[in-house]
Amino acid sequence: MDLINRYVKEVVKQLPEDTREDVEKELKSNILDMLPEDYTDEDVRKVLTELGDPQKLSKEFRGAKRYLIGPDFYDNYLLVLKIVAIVLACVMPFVAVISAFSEAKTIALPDVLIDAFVKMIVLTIQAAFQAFAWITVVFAAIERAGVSACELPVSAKTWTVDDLKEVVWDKKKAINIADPIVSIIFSIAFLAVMYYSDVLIGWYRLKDNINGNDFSVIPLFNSEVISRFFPYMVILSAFIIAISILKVIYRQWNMKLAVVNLVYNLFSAVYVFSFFTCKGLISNEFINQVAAETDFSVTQVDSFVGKFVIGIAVLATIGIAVDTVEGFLKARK
Amino acid sequence: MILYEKDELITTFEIELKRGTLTLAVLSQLKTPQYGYSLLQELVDKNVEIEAGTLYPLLRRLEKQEILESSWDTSESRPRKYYVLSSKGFEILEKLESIWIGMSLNINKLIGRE
Repeated sequence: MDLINRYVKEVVKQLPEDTREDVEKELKSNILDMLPEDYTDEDVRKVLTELGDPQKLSKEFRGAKRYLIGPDFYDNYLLVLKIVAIVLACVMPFVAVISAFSEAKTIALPDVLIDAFVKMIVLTIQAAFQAFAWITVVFAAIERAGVSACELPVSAKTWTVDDLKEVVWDKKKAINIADPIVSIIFSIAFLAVMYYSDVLIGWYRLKDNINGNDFSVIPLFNSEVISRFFPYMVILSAFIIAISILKVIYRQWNMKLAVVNLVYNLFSAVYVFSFFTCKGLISNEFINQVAAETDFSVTQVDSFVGKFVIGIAVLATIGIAVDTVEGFLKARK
Repeated sequence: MILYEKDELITTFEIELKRGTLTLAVLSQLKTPQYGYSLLQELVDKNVEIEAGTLYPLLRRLEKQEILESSWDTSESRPRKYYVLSSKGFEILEKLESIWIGMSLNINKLIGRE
């Protein structure tokens, strides 16, 4: 009896709470049925051997999936990996160069380029591993979350014979695959530039060795404002990347996509507008510098810059609105 | 798995055929209530090659899918869990039976053994 108990306990050990007791009862009953009236240890051994490795039996009861990512999602998984790889390959050199330039102490180009090259390799490897790990984890979770596989088409357009022709099957609805990939690259690059904006974007001046640098930069943006807005930039960029991935997977506009696009655009419109109309966006030092180098007074420069920035805000908002409308128009047809 | 040996290939295909018909075989014997071991015996007696370690989890799965209903019989000396087809199970079995008959007629025709 002890052997039987040990065996059964081993099998049910890894089963979920609610089924454990029932399986234990049932399995014990089944084992006892397989034994003769006055069974001996020999008999028990024979039966347990016949049932086999308790671990294996437990797996059968659990119905555990014997794979990380199954056939239903594997194609999508590979597609996402491919897209991310392309994005990384395009973005990493750019990010590395920016990062190297921002930390540059000299204007000796060779040094900076070498630094950029090294950074590129290191950053690419790091980013590649991170991306691979996260994408795999997400898909493994999707696999186990019971998502219906047909909700994630590899490509939503079903092939017809017309696809063989040169003419694009439905030009009106199609999303050019370059657009979302450019969006992803651009948003990551933008983040990188913004992160280092206090040393990258501004008025460059060649100085004679102040602080050991060959040049100094008067930042365009007020760094306080930038750091306030930066977390939101990251979040928005994450969204743009997610939406771009969706666009690549679906390859054509549909209502769901247009709505998601709308929501995102609303947020980014609000964000962009508040960013550009934020008081003190342009750093005072920059304004002073411009005033010093030109014939205008500080107040004149300040008001001009203010109007200019608001103009950009309006343009950006219009651009976002156009994108949203375009999405809906294309989805409609 | 490098299975290019004839015998290994035959075994693989045979296993596939058996796996394909297992559910039908099991369901066909559950028109009346059976408990795990009695069902196992009956299937083995009727030349269905199935192991205890396969049958018992299968019964639970089929119950989860509401194809079988179960009840514990505590009248005997030892409590036993009995399984029987649910009404949904009966419908499914009927459908599977006609699918099988159609399929086997067709295959027999294909291999010239009508």
